This record gives sequence, C-alpha cells and structure tokens, in this order.
Amino acid sequence: MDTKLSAAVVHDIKNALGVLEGMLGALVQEPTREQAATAQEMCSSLRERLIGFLTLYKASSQGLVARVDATNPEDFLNTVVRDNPPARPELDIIVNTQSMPVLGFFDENLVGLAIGAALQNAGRFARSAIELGCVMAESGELVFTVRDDGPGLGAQEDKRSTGLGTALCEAIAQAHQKGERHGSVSLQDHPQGGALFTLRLP
Amino acid sequence: MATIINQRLAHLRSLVVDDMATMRQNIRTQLGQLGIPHVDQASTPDEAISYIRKNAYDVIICDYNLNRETNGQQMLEFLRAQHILPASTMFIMVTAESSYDLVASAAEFQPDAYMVKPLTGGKLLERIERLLDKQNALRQIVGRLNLKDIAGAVDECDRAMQVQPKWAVDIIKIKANALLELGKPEEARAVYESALKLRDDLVWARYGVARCHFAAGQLDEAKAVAQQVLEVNAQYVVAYDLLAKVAEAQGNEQEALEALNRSYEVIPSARRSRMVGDVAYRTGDLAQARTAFDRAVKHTKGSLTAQPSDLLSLAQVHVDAGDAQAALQVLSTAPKHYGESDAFVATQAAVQAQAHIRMGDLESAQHAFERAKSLADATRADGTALALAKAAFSIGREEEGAAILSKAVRADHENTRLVSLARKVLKDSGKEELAAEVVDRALDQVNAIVAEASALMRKAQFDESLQKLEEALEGMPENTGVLLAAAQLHLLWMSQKGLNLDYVARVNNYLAKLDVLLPGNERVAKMYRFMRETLSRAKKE
Repeated sequence: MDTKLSAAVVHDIKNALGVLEGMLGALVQEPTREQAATAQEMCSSLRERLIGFLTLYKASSQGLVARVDATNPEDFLNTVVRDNPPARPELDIIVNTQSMPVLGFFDENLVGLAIGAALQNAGRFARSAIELGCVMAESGELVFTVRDDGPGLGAQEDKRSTGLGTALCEAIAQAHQKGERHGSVSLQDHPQGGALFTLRLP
Repeated sequence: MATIINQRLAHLRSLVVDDMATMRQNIRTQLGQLGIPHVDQASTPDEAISYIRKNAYDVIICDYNLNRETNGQQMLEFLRAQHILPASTMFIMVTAESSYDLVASAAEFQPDAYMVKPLTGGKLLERIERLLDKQNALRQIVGRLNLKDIAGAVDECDRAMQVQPKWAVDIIKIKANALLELGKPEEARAVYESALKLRDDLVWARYGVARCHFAAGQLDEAKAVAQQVLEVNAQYVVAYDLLAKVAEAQGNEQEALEALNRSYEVIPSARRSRMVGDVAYRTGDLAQARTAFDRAVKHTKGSLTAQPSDLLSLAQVHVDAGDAQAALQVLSTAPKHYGESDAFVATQAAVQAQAHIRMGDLESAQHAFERAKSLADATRADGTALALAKAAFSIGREEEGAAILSKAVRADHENTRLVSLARKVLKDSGKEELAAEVVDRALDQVNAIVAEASALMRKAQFDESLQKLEEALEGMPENTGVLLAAAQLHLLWMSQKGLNLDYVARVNNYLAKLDVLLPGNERVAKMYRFMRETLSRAKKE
C-alpha cells in the first residue's frame, strides 16, 4: 500500500478526530441535541473512512476477492443512498431506474463501498443534484454511474482529497474478475456538464 | 409501507449470538430502536443451541467468532445438519471485513445473509426488510414444499419466475432441487443450465449440473464437472463430497477417502471428520479412522454438538486395532447423560464385550454381551446391531451373531452401507464363509416378499398382497424397501377400489416413518405425490 496515501489518510482521520473531540468538549459544557447529532454523523463518516482504509489495506496485503451474488441494482442503490446521506441536506439524490436490469452480479459489500465513496465525492461538488444509475452494457458489463451537476473535473477544491476514494474504487473494480476480464473505474466530464464517475464490472 | 414493515418488525422474535457482552447489548439496542422488542441473547454456541431448541426465532444474528471450539459457521452447520433451524428463520452471519470472503467462500451451509461489521441499525433494517421481501415473494413455493407437494412447488416456481424476476436466482435454485427430488435429473439440469446462461461462472449452478449427472447415473460426467468446479474454486467443499460419492459408487473407496480428506482440510469440522472416519473404517484403514473419530470426539467434547456415536466408533476402532485397553478407556469418558439412551448403553456394552475378550476376560465379556442384548432394540438395523453381532462372534456365539446380522440386513436391505458393514463384521470375525447364508439370503428373502406382494397385486389379489406386506412389516417395521412397497400397493388398491380411511392412515404412517428413515429421498417424495393424486381422484369420484 502506498505509504504517502496511508499517511494522508491517517492524517485526515487524525484531523477529523480533533474536530470531533472539540465538538464533544462543547457538548460536555452544554449538551444540545443538534450538536450530538452532528457528532454522531461525524463518527459514522469516520467509521466509513476507516472501513475504506482497511479494505484497501486488505487489497494490498492479502488481495481482495469479490464474492459475486445476484442482486437487484435498484434495491442496492437505494441502500447505498440511505447509508450515505449527503453532507449538505439541500442536495437531491436520484436513483435513475431507466434501463436498469432486474439482476446484476456483483459483490454488494465492496461495490457499496465504492459507490458510497463516489457519492461522497460527488456531494462535495454537486450544485443541486446527484444521479445514480446502473445499466447492462452490450459487452455484458454491468455499468454503475454517479453523476453530479457541479463544475466538472477542473474544479478547484478548498481542501484536497486524500485519494483514498479513488484508490479504493480501483481496488474494488480490480477485485471483480470474470475469466481474464477485470472491472475498471473512470472519472470524466459529462458532455452535458458536471462530473461522471463510472464503475464497470465484468 | 413503513407502518406495514413496522408492524411486521414488532412481531419478530430475535436472538443475538456473540461472545462479547458489549456487542450483544449494542445489537440489542439497535434492534430495539428498529421496533423489534423481543431480543434474546446467547454468549456461547451451546447457549444459543438450547435457546433455538426451545423457541422459534424469526431472526438470528450470529457473530462468526464465538469461541475457540466452535465458530458461527460450525454452529450453523450443526443447526442445519440436525434440522433444528426452521426454514422460516432468517439467519444472519456477522463477520469482520478481513475474514468475510474467506468465511463465505468455504461455507457449505449458507446463512440467509452475511453482514460485515460494524453493524448499524440502518443496515440491519435494510437487510431484514429485504429478507422479509424475499420470504414474501417465495411464500407460495415454500408453502408447497412444506406440504411435501414437490411437483406443486415446481409449478409455483414457474409462476413466481414471471412475477418475481428479482428473486430469479433463488427460484432457480429451489426449482432445480425440487426436480432432483422428484427424480427428474434431466429437467433439473436444464434449470441449472438456464442459470449458467445468466452468468456462466456461477459455481453453484456448475456444481448443480454435476449433481444432476450423478442423479442420472452418469458417474464419469459427474466427476468431470465436479473437478471443473474445484479447479475454479478449490474451497467449494460439497464438490469433494460429490467426488467421494462418485468414487464410492464406482467401488473406489480409497479415492473417496482422499476426496473427503481434502474437504476436511477446507472445513476442519467434527462432521467432516466423522465422514472421513466412516469411510476410513469401511475401507479398513484403522489408523485413519482412529485419527478422524478422535478428532471428532475432541472437537465437540463437553459441547451440545457432541455425538455419542463418535465415542462408540472410536472405541470400536480401538478394539479392531487390537488396543482393548484404549477402547475401554474411551468408553469410560462417556458423559453421564449418554446413559439415558438404551441404544448407547447397548452399543457401549457390545463394544466392551469385544474388548474384554481381547483381554482374555470371558466372564466380563459374556456379562457385557447379555447386558447389550437386553437393551438393544431387536427391530432396528443400526450400529448397535452390528456391534452386538460382532460381540456375539467374539465370544463364540456364532449362531446368535449370524441371526442378529441377518435380521439387521432384512430390516433395512436397501441400505448399501449397512449391508457392506454387515459383510465387514463377518470378515473381521473370520466368518466370511457365512456371508452367503447370512447376508445374501436375508437380501433374497426380503426381495422375495416384495416381489410376491407385487405379483399378487398384478393378479388382482389385492387383499392377499397387502396382507403379505403387513406381515413382513411386523418382523421388520423399519425396512425402507418394504415400507415403500406397502405404501405403493395400498395406494394402488385405493386407485382401483376407491377410498379406504384405514388404508389412508396406514399409508400416512408408512410415509411418516420413511421421512425419518430416508429424509429428502426422491422415492419418498414420489410416493407423497402418488398419495395426493390418488386421494384427489378418489374424492372426485
């Protein structure tokens, strides 16, 4: 596992813990329901990041194996949306069911982590909406997409991301194998604006 | 929708199994917040098993890491193998993310869902909802299966496939299994092949094809496909079992033993060790049989998963290997409550008798033999009868030994394992020359009774035919061949002459016995179907 990435992630988690500590300190002084809820959300997000980190660690140390099972993509995407509420409540998250197959074969736990990470990322740039989709390509690949309506790839960030999400998605795509083919990920500008994350699984 | 789900959740009885009190409490709180008020907690597999024996749970949430002796997967294996878990119970296995694919890929007995730690209320709710949704979608099919209406279940599968495409894979699995149970391996194979059209690398479907070949008697094909499965996934443990069955059917017991040994390497459970021990003993590999039964005994010592037969098998192996002292020592470690079972005490005494003889103590041996004889159920064909026969030969009561053995073979003449073990008893006792008289003649006798009854039936001498079988059943009430023939001929009688309530009761009684003696057997399933058809026709007329 890339040591630079590890250091960046640990650093990031350390900072987040600092913020959480401050929040809890304020709560000790004067408990409010609102702040307790924010602290709880922060814990969930930290936990998700640690799971991502450990999954990536596992991928580099013992290899990641996808356990492919038949799953209904719509149920699955709705679950991912429910598990990853947007940091900004004004964002509208839509699951587009157009041309969505009834069944897809993939590892629900792993792909859930990947789509969750992509959703978090899209949440940082989206203006008002994020759209998730899943179609069966002619090649037989199952294609998941996460599209935001933000400024696209050239966007300047206030705070740089650690690169954990990207590395995690790549490892998860790689873990999905069928015969000689592996999965792949890409992040592009969408022709109609915004950024488009694509996860292709064989 | 939300309130409907809430109402359903409020009625769920749940059990949380985890060795860590904080984790149990955490899950209990989460379930409480979801509106599931009834939550029992167990900290060990034994505690969980006794809870599950007493209560019917809708949801069981079980941690994979329980204690050093038994993990969650082994507990599930025990529950399923002993048929303790109702089909409607949702069993959710919780694993750490680091071990989940290892646990899941080697699992022979699948839980209804795997969940990766940490569990949150939202994830639990989502999973339980989805499992309830699936139960609902498959309700009609499962209802037919519970009524043993296998053919009806197949029809329901076809219907569900149209309206519930989301659960296509589950439906395909049930349908293929049902067709195998109905003795239609070709049709079952077509169903598995339809799954492979959805995706050609589905291991369970490929393995299903191998099972169909086996059921159709295509042993070489079954072997080839099972080997293909293992090339792709060496952890797919049931494929080894199938290879072992093929090898045994081809008379290649050494190969069977090798396959089972490899399966034990994948899942080192007491059950798998026992399977190795049984085949090793039958092939005469005493060293391996001893290791295997010893492992099974040690693995389950002091636990509810312990099986008295392991102790008896181990002691018998010691006697056969000439170590009488070790046999007596093993038997002396039997927990007190085993003594409540006559069958156990009888077999124990029969093995003790053999051990005493080896040690030159004829008096103790005779004493033990008498005790064994007084407690043994003379009508049953099982390990007790075989041990008793062996004891009789060892103390020189040749005629008695031959009579016990002959009776055992007659009681269950279609049980090939029993028959081969009976031959082994003669061989081990140096009485091979008795095989023709004891085993072969017993087989001929039973086959003759069934043939005679069938002939009478063909000649329309219905009442004589049924009487013949009833008489036969008095002497061998658990002979599966005679029970099946009796069920069939009673049903034939009714399809000719109309409904007879006494006969309906008799057939029900035969089938109930067969269910216990041959669980999941396709011929029994066929007979159930024949009965339903006969009754519905009789009612119409």
